[in-house]
Amino acid sequence: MANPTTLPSFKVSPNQHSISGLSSGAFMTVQLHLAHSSLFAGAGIIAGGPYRCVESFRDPSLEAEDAYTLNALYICMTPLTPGTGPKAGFLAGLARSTAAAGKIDPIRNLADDRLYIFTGTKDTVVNSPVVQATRDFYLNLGVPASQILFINNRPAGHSILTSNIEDSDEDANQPPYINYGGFMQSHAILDQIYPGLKPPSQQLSGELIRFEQAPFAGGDAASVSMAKFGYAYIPDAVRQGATARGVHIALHGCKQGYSYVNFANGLADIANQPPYGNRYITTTGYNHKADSNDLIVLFPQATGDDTNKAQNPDGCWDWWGYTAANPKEPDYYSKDAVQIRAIYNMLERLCGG
Amino acid sequence: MRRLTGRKGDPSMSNPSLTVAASVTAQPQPRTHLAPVDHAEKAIALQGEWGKRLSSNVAATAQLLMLGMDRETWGELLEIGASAQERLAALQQTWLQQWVGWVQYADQIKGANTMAKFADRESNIAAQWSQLLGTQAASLIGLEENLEVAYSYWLSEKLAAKKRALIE
Repeated sequence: MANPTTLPSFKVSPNQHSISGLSSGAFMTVQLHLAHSSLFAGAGIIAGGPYRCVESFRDPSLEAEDAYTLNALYICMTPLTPGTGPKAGFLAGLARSTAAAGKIDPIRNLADDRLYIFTGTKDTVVNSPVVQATRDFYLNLGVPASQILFINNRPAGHSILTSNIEDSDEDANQPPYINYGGFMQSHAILDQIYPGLKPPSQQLSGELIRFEQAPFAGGDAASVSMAKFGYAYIPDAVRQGATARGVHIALHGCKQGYSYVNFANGLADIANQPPYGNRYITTTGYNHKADSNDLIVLFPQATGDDTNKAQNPDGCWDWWGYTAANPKEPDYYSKDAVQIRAIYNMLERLCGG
Repeated sequence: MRRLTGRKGDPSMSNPSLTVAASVTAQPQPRTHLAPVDHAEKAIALQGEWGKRLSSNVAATAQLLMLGMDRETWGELLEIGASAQERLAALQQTWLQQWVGWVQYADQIKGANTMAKFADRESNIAAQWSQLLGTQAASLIGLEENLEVAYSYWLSEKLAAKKRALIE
């Protein structure tokens, strides 16, 4: 891997990008997909809920940010019944009004997108009715059912599935949330978004680039809960000047960023840092599929902090407003959201060649 | 999963390109002493929120009863209760497994063959006990909070639907 560097630019087909993620990365996937739908051909959502889900019910607390946190935990992750979970129709209406206000791209861009949406029957972190609401949300916004691959019958826990036998059991609900499922879920996602892709490469030909995220995040990535470095996989043909098919943005979930450190009793457990490192980047199969299909893969990285400066100890992407300047009017979902803008800036840089 | 409370209301966030320096310099310096008053204030504030949720749930329940409970409404209510019961049973099962694990660890004290090892094991047993109690209490409170929010959300949806039906 190259030493820390600035993110280079390549020749890339326009508006054929895609995005996928797990858990908080899946919530962020939906947000980014909606915010910049004119750029994307599709999205992969593993265990993620619908757009602006935390704004389902404002009443639980007088403090707006506390209400959003309660929504996140109990309506958007573990609702007691499907009826107390997110309402797809209401949230689709919210998306339409957000688009009408010009804060995200027009909803009509979604109509020709292809989606992969997955929920495991053993997932105890983000329950299946929430993910079902994500499918219903997209249907409500006009994505035809024929373009949505919805899978809800595998006994999987909260995880991205791989064919690596050393990963956790399929039904596990524990970090690093990378479970053995006998197949590479990343390949299934890319095959759904881009029909007719070639099989994955056996050997990688390209290069994994490490780059500083700060220039894309207003100068200090940590202040918006983003890690010092992000990563990108560049297939050899693209490095040699071929036009890339597009950029696929792969978003990790909570506790999966390369810099994640477990917090034990409120303290960073640096003496026993689990060796997750860049497993999400190198072992989940994205790069091998990208390599044979001239796709660039961008791996932005979130980071955690358990202080009052950044109370996001698990290094999750912001889908409940923790980066909001004004908690009463959180902006984690629009083109102007700090994390969305940072990732968009990375995409723009990659495509600048 | 929490929020960036320290930056709440920071006006520099209205121009995110200026965020970094401003928000970092705006951070209050950490104190070097404990402030029991802060802990008490926070506990009282959270209990106040809990009390408000409880009283508005009572008032909304009364309203719903006045508007009439049909079979579907009773069914949904029972479903919420059954789901909470199911999750409590799952939690209790997990707790039981955790305590069995703790007893098994404590039972291995005979293997401590030096004073240092003995002290280490005793300390671990106490720490594990404390950690188990803490996490189990937090998960029980989490379930209680979930039930409270779910019931409140369900009530608000039901009341809104009943009121709409009355107008139509």
